[in-house]
Amino acid sequence: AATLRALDRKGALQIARDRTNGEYVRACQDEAAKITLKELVREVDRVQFGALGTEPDRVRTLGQRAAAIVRAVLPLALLVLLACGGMDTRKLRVPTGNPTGSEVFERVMTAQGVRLGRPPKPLGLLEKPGPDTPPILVDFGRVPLDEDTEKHLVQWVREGGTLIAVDQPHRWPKELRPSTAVGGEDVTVQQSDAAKLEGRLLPGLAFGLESKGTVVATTGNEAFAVLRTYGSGQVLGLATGDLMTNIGISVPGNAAVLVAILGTVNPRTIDVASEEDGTTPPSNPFIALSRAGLGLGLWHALAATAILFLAVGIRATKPIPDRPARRRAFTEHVGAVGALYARARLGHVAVAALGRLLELRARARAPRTQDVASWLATRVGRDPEEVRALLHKAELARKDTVPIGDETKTLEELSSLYAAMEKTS
Amino acid sequence: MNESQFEATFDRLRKEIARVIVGQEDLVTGLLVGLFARGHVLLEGAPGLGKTLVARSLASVSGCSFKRIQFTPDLMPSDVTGSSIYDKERAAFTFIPGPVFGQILLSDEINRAPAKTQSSLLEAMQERQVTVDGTARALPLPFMVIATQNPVESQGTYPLPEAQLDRFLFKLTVPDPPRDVEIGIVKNHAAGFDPTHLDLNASTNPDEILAMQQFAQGVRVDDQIVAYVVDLVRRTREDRAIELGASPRASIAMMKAAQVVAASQGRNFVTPDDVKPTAKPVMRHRVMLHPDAQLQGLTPDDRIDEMLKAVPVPRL
Repeated sequence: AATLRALDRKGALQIARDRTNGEYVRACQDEAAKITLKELVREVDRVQFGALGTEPDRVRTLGQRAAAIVRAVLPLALLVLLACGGMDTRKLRVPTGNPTGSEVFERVMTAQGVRLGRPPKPLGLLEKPGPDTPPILVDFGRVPLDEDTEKHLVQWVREGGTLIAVDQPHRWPKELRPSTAVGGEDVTVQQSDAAKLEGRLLPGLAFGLESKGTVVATTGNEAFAVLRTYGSGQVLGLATGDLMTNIGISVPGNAAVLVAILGTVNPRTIDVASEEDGTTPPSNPFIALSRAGLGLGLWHALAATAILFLAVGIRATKPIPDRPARRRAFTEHVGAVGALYARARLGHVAVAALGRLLELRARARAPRTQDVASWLATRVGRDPEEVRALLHKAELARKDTVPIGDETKTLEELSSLYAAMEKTS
Repeated sequence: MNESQFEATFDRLRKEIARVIVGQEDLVTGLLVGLFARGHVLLEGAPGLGKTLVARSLASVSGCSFKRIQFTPDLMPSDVTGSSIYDKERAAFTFIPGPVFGQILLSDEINRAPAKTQSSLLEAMQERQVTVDGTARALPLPFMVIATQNPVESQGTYPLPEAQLDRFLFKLTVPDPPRDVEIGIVKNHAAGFDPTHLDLNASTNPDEILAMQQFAQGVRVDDQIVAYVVDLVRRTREDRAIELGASPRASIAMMKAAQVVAASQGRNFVTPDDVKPTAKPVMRHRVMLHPDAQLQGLTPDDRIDEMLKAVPVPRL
C-alpha cells in the first residue's frame, strides 16, 4: 500500500478502489518501478489470496526495492509485509489476518505484565502527571496532533510525564525531536556487556548518534531507540513503529527487543493513544467553528449582525412625523364643490341644489297632508312665510341661468335652516 | 496436472489457433476458458467474422470431435438429438445419434430455430445427456456447445429464452476486425488459405482436457474473492437501469471462469485480476435492461462497466 501511495504521489499511477493490483502494474508509467511493483504484487497476491507463505530472502530483496521506491518519493513507513526480513515462514501466523494490526504486541506486553490502555482524556486535555501516571505511547504516524494538543503534550512531558514517541521524528513535537539519519537493518539493544538482544528490521529511519539522550537500541551504527529527559519528564523515542505490528513482532528476536526497549521506562501500564486522541475537543462553539474552517465566516456573520443592529438602531432613533389630522372626506368634497361653483360663478346652481336637498329631506319627514314650508317653519321655530320665501328663491334659482348676486347669503340661510332641521330630527 | 502444465497447454492451444484466427485474441481466450470451465459459449457477431472457423479450429487443436448444426425454422428436436430408426434387417429400432453427440457442437444461428428445437439443447447443455424415446444417453466428454447468433436480423428469429441463455457460461461478441487485421486475413486467403482444410495440429486430447477441467475446479478461491464476485452480481439486481438482474448461477459461472483464468496464468489461486475480465462475458446475456435504459441507448456492457468501478476490489 505504501508503494502504491508513493507511486500515486509521483504520478506514475492513480489509486482507485476498483483497480486490481494487476491493473496498477499495467498502468504504472514508471518503467523502473513497474518491474518491482509486478513482483511485489505477485507476492502480495500469493499471501492474500493464495494463503501461501513467502520466502525470506525474496521478501527482503523485494522490501529493499520497494523501500527505494517509497524513499524516493517520501520517507514513509513501509508495507508491513515487506518490512520483515529474515522471517521464519512457519511462524508467520498473523492472528486476525491483518499484518499491520497490533494484536500480537498487546499479547506480548500482557504476558510481560504490562497492561495496555487508553489515555484517560484526549492528549490536549491531559492533567498534570503524577508519579503513578503511566507512560503514553503515541505513534505520530497514525495520530496527527493539532497545534493546541501538541503544545499541551509537550507541557505534559515537561511537567513529569513519560512519552513513548514512535515514528519519524519530523512528525514529533519540535521540542522533543532528536536528529535523524538513515539506519541499517539489525536492531541491537545492549542491556549489559553480556546480554545483547538482536532483532531485524527493514532499513528505516533511525536517529543520529548526535541525538540528545541515552541510546537504548541501535541499528547498525545508528540509534534506533533513544531515551532522553525533557523538563521533569522523559521521552523514549523509537524510529519506526514496525516492531509493534503483528508481522514485525513475529520476527524471531523482535519481541524481546521491543520488550527491552519499552522496559527502559519501567511501565506497569502503557496508555496507547489512538487517532481521535490527537484532537482536543473544542471547548466552545466558536472554537469548533474555527476548527471547521468557518472562522472567517463567523467573523463575517458577526460583522453583518453588528451592521444590521446599527442600521436598525439608527432608523429607530429618527423622529417620526405627526400623523395628519383625520378629515372628513365629505366635508372636503362639499368645500371643493363650493369653491368650484364660486369660481365658475354658478352660485345659483348651488342655491338650487341645496334648496332641493332641503326640500326633499323635509318632505321625507313631514306628514303628507302638511305643507313642507309650514312643517319646516314649525319644526325650526321660524316664520313660515320666511321659510316659504327662502324655498321659493331656491326654486327660482333652478330656472335662472345667471346668478343674482345674493347667492352666498341665500346659501348661508338655507344651510342654517338645514342644520336646524337636522338638529330637531 | 499442475498449474505450470495447465498454463503451458493453454498457451499452446492459444498459439495454435492463432495460426488460423487472426486478431481475435479475446474470442479465442474466451472459448478456451469456456472449454476448461465446462461451460458453453454463445457467440454473437455479424456474418463473415469467422465464428464457424474459430469453433472448428478449437475442435481441431483440442483433438475433439466436431459437429455442426445449422439451425433453421423447420429444424426439429430429433434433428438435434437423433432418433430411432427401424432397421428392417434386424427388425428392431436403432438409435441414430444426432449431431449433439459431438464433443464440440457448433449450433449455428441458434436463434433461427423455434423454441421447441432450442429447448432440445437444454438437457444436453445442463446434464450432458439427451433423452430420446425415454432413454437417457450420455454425451461424450468433454462436451461444449458453441452457439452463434446474428445480432442484426430480427425477422424470422426466435430470441433465446432466459432459461436457455442462462445455460451459456459466456456470451462473447465478435467485433469487426481492425484494418490491419483485416489486411492480414485477406493476405492469408491470397496466399492460399483454405478454411475448409485447416492445417492445425492437435495440441491436446480429450483426456488431457478432462484433467485440466478437473484441475481448474480445484483452484483456490479465497473468501474475499467469493465476496467480490457475489457483490458484483448482486449489483445487477440493485441497478435501476436493469429490470432483471443476474442469478446466483452467474456468480458460480464467474467463479469457475476465474479459476480457469488463474490456472491459465500458472497460478493455483484466483485474484481479482482473474475475476474482472470474466464479468462482462458472464453477465451481459444474463441481465435484462429496463426499456427506458434501452431507449437511451444503454447496453448491458455499459452498466457492467459502471458496476466494476463501483465495487471495491479486495485489498490487503
